[in-house]
This record gives sequence, C-alpha cells and structure tokens, in this order.
Amino acid sequence: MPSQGYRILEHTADTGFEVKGSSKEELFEAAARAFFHLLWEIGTDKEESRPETIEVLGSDLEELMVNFLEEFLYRYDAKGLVCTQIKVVSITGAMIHVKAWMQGFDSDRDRELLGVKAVTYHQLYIGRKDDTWIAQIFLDI
Amino acid sequence: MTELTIHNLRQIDEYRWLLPKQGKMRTEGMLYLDRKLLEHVKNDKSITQVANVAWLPGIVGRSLAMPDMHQGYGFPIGGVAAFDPDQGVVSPGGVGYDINCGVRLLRSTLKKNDLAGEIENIVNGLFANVPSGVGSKQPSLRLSKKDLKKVLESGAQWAVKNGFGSNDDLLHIEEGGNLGWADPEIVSDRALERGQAQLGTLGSGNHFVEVGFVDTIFDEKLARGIGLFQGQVTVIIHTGSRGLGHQVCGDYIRILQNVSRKYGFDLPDRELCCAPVHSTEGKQYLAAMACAANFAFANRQLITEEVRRTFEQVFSLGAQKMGLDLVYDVCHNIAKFENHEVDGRQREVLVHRKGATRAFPAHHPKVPAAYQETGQPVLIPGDMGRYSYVLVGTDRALKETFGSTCHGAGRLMSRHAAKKTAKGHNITAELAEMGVTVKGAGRATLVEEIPGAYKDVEDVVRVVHEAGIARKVARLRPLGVIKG
Repeated sequence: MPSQGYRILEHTADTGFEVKGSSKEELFEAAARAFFHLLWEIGTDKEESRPETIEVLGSDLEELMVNFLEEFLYRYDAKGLVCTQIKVVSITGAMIHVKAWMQGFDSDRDRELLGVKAVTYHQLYIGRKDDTWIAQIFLDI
Repeated sequence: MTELTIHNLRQIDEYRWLLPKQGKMRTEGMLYLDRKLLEHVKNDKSITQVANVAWLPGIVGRSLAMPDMHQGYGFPIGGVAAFDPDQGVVSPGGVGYDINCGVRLLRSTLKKNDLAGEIENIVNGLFANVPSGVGSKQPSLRLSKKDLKKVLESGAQWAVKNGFGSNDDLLHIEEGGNLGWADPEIVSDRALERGQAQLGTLGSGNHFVEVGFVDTIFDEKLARGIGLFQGQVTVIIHTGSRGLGHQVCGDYIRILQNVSRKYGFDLPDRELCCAPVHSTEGKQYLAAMACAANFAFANRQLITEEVRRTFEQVFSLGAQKMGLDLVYDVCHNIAKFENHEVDGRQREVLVHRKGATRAFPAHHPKVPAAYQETGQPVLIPGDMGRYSYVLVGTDRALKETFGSTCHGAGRLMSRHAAKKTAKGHNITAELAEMGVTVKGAGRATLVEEIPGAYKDVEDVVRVVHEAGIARKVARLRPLGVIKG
C-alpha cells in the first residue's frame, strides 16, 4: 500500500479504495483519511482548532461506513468544511464516535481533487481476515 | 449476494441483443449495441446489472440498456425499466444519485464567424458568471429554507416567476420544468442545506457549459423544424440537482434498505433497494425525487440566465437580439409516470431512466407544440473535444423502449487511466490546438475528462439512429467549454 495507507480500486466508471486496520476503529479512521486524501488537498492545518465530536449511526458496519463518510460530504457541501485530522474514539454497536478537526475550505489555499456525489453500497465490503480488518468502498463521482 | 453470469445473449439484428430470462429474472433484457460497443461492455458488470433489474417486482416489458451502457450502481448507466404502479416498485438506484441530471440546448442567431476573437472572452465570462459551487466558488443567490422549498415545489417555474428567463423557456423543458408531485416537506434538512449552498451552480466532474456551433446537418427539414442551421452558434448546459439530489438519493437508499427487507424483496445488490410504488415509503421517495428534479430544472434555468448575461456582456447586445432561445431541456436520470402501450393496450407505468433520455415521437401529446411535427429534441453531449448530437424521438422508440434512447458517450477509461494518459500533456493547450478553449476549476477534472477517456459519441449515436430509437438531426462542435 502507498504511503497514504490506501489502495485505489478502479473500473471504467468507478472509483473506489481499499483500506486496512488492526481494529474496526483503525479501519474506519483509515477509510476517513483515504477519503479526505482523495477529495482534497489542504494547504495548511490549523493545529490550534479544537476538535468537534461527531457521532454517526448505522444498522450494520456497511451502513455505518456509508453514513460516516457521507457525514463529511454533507459538511463539505452544506457548510464548506473540510476535515484535517480525525481520531476514531470508539465503535460500539451501531454508533461510531469520532473527534474531527474541521476547518473552512479556502479556495486560494486548498484544492478539491475529486467531486464526490456519494458514498455507495456498490461492491461495498467490510470484513476481517485473521487479525486484519479490510474495507472496500466505492464512490459515485 | 448471488450474481448471475450472463452467457446467453442472443443477437436479434445488428443492433439488438436479447438477454433471455434466466435465474430469478422476471422478464428478458434487451441491449442496443453493435459488436464494437458490446466488446466494451463485456468487461464490466453492466450486463449482469440489466439482468438484476429484471429481478425487481412488477417490472413491465423488458429490462433495457441503451448503447452507452456501462456499469453503474444498482441499475446500469443507460438502463431503462418500467414498473406497474400497483404491483411494481420504485428504486432510487434506477434514477441515480444525480437526480434529473440533464442537458439543455440553446440556439442563437449568431454564426460561428461572429465568435471570432471573442471565444476567450466568452469562456472567461462564463467561468466568472457561472459558479461551480466547488469549494468556495459559491453562488451569490442563497435562499432561505422556506424559499428553497418553493424551488423544490415548482422547479423552473419558480425561476421564471422570479425573473430568471421567460414563459417561452418553460414551453421547451421536459414536463414544463416542473414535476407536479413534489413535496418539499419530506426532504431532509441536510438535503435542503446542501441545496441552499448550491442552487445555480454547475458542479464538477462531467458537468459543463459548452459554446459550439452546428457543423453538420443530417436532416434539413428536421433541423429547420427545431430552429437549427449550419454554422449556427449553440450552447449546451449539462448539470443536475447537485448535493441536494445526492442527499435525497442517499437518504432514501438508507430508508429503502429496511423497506426492502420488510417486504422480503430478494435483491441481488443493495443498491437495488426499492419500495412498492404505492407504499408510503415509495410515495415519499417519488415526492422527494421530484423535489430534486425540480431543483435541477431551476438550476439549469438559472445557469441559462448567466449564459445569456455573459453573451450580453461580450457582445453588448440584448440576449433576445442574439436569439438565445431554449431549444429543449431533457432529463437523463429520472423516474416518471407515463402512458405507454404494453401488450396492445395503453396503461400507466413508472419509467426509470438512468443515463437514458426520453425520446418521444412527433404528435405525442407530451411533446411541446413547437415540435409536434419533428418529434421531441434529444440532446446527446459527447466529450469536450469532439462533438455533441441533436436527435429527435421516434415511433419505434415509443414502441420498443418506453420512448427512450441513449444519453451520452460513456467512459472508456477509468479516471486513473485517464490521468496516466494525460501525464506530461498540456490538456488545455492540446484542446486549444483542436480549436476548443477550455477553462476548468481544477486540472484534476480536466485530465480525468480528456476526450480519449470517453467512447466516441458517434458510435453510440449511430446505434440509436440505425436501430430506429432516435433520428439524427445535427452535430455540434465545441468552441469553448467551462468545467466546474
């Protein structure tokens, strides 16, 4: 895997990625990082900003993943916010609890790399092999 | 999850391939392809997806695929399917995330030569006036939620009522630019918030505004009938319902997953989740989808006004003096109730078109008065370097495909492959050499959308023309393009 910690999965009209982690928390954190890396190039991080607590629900791990990543699409589209740093605190039952460092997108400094419409269930896979959690996620762009 | 492997395609004629009923398919499929296009689709899952659509309850007639078919989410792109309003289902995957993504075409009284020396100014003007909505390129218009709901209720009619365009525009939009069964009260707050930030914006990806000219006329009489002539300057606008539509689709895919389980639907793909048309959830999706469709109609109407304003700035002439009239506006991601003849009798069906365009023939009651003799104009954009087509709907399309035809070129290369191909190339300069001035918000979009990344739209159009499910009228060549 490249240094960003994800692998691109592509077919003609699809864009997806694969991430791994040694726990569910690590997996979701890696998925978020990969997602942000595909979406944006952020000029600087405002380290001093305080993290927001975000909680997202889903009826199973797949739905939780879709809802979790969609949460950041919504914040970007509706509020113009991008995430510069993320920490998954816990995944318990149907809920993921994260701390996210959010800041406003600045078109002079930042770049959108990929216009993502949605996170999809298409070929969505979340599973565990031995001690490694693996997720494959496809985006509608 | 089970998946059908499709090996049994039967060739009917040069452009038709029957997908026999097999496994859990409730009906057969029909693919409109020539051998060359079939080679493209053999390698993805789109044929399986045509079969998957045929699993859905209450499907009427065949599960259809247009020649620009390729793998989508749930339904294939290029998929068309109709459902019984009483026994059938509605599926957000049959419409797609970009609800009422569509195309509109403006004509003018200007000729190609009138643009000489001005194309750069027009492209720069369009780029400045049409917000992409990407990052902080925000629209100047920001409505309250209350006002946005009026947009969702009446679509392009809201725009015209508020001074953006004329009643004449409304006569030249599919469904008059307004789906009447929209209910803004069931659209989520999140969808509204995404809509507030993005009304009047183009978006990124394959969305664009293109200034071009008529370079070939295939049918003089039809071209005259829809007001097109050789060398005429035209403008194409391609965009949809932006984040509002994406959110509506996502919201209902979430809700309908549970509904599908509740009704015990046997689905081969989660993205095919659906609800009975007459169920509360099915009706709610349709009412929310109509809101997103209306948002898209209004969005294209607002952008049209920005295009007119740009031409006025560049030429110091009124838009009317330049005859910047709307030829037509078509949806290519939509579900609608329509009357069709099935097994010899007229009945109402819910037609899903996902990456497919309505193509109604002359004398059809849904075709505007201006096109009663020609048939409904069908607008097929190609990639940004080559050409786009204007076609009209036909009787054969009405009989065979629920009055539907193709919608575009379809990708040939993955985005990653396009990037690789574009590496070391100056795309803007190469397009300029081809006579096309391009301005895009980011190089990322430009390299992913290079002409070579798409099939030649001519290959797609030839199939629909030869198969008789649309008729070629004219070909347009681009001169200037803005991408979000």
